[in-house]
Amino acid sequence: METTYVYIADLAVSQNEGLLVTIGLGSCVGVALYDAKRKIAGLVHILLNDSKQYLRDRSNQFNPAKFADTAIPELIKAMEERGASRGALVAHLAGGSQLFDYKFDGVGIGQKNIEAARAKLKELGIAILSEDTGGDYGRTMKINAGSGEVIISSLSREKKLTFINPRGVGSD
Amino acid sequence: MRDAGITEQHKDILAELANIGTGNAATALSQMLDHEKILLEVPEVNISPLQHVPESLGDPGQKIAAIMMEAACDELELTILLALPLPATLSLIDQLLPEGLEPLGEMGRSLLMELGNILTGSYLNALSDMTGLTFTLSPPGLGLDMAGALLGSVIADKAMLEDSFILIKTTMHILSREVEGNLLLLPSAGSLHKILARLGAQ
Repeated sequence: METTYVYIADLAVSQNEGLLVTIGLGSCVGVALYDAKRKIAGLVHILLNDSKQYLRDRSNQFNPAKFADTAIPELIKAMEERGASRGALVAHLAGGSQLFDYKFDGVGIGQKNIEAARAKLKELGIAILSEDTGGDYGRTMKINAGSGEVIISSLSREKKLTFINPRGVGSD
Repeated sequence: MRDAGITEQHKDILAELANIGTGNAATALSQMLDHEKILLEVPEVNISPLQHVPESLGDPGQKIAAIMMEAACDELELTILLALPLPATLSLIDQLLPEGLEPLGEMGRSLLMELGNILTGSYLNALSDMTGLTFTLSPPGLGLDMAGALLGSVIADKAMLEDSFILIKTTMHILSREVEGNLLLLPSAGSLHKILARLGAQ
């Protein structure tokens, strides 16, 4: 099976057989989207909640995958280019935790990221099928493009949560 | 990034700074551990794209203890992080704790934080001496988790402006225990040239 790693502030799309993996979601939020009919999966590792709050460094290209409000539309666009249908998409969320036992962790950046991702998905009319967010531990998120199966694992909890898209949800 | 224009000379100066800082930190650590031998590697100075920061301590999925502090002086901001692998760190903590206490209990965590505090504090003292700047330090924050998740959280609130980071990494080996730790210094975007200027760089 082909495995594609999604880095921080990065996104990837896979079809049929591929596995998308993002390691180490801390305050970051991972959003996985899936089109079950066409077996197309997308995964984005979002760092921050709102692109509008932040000044853009003029010397750099703007990276939409960094911010929740721009990352989700960008992921949808990339999936549509591979043939996915927007109306068929369902979402899974993971991450948004607070790892340092001191406010340092950017004072609730994790929580802000979760809320921004939920709001953007709601605005776009995409249902959230599973969510494993918050808490004080990091997560690794995987989505299998063939089955739509999402696996969230963590070190401190040593547990795996598996979600599979129920039939009929989000199909068009 | 904004600090484009980091020359080889700048990297050498930063490496020297890290060398002296980590030397100080290693001395402090050695004293805590009954004068155990600590070996320091040559510091690495890298400009890393945002995407690759979580791998800067190796496998982003490995479990580490990270103790982080922020130092500020006027408009200068630095983040300094001590990263130690688990479970090697736990055996080290276990030896320093009175018998019968859990390495990750309240005392153990507090000891780990103090360890970070002393090491990063002595690193920053060296930095202060060399630059003539006095830093205000935040209390230490402790995280025990995947290296990638911890580093991602550390850079999250610094990534608003930047798409690449200067990472100054020094690896320490506590020889008899086979523990390899890293001290990582992350200057914020505007800070780097100010530090370099203070150190007499062109």
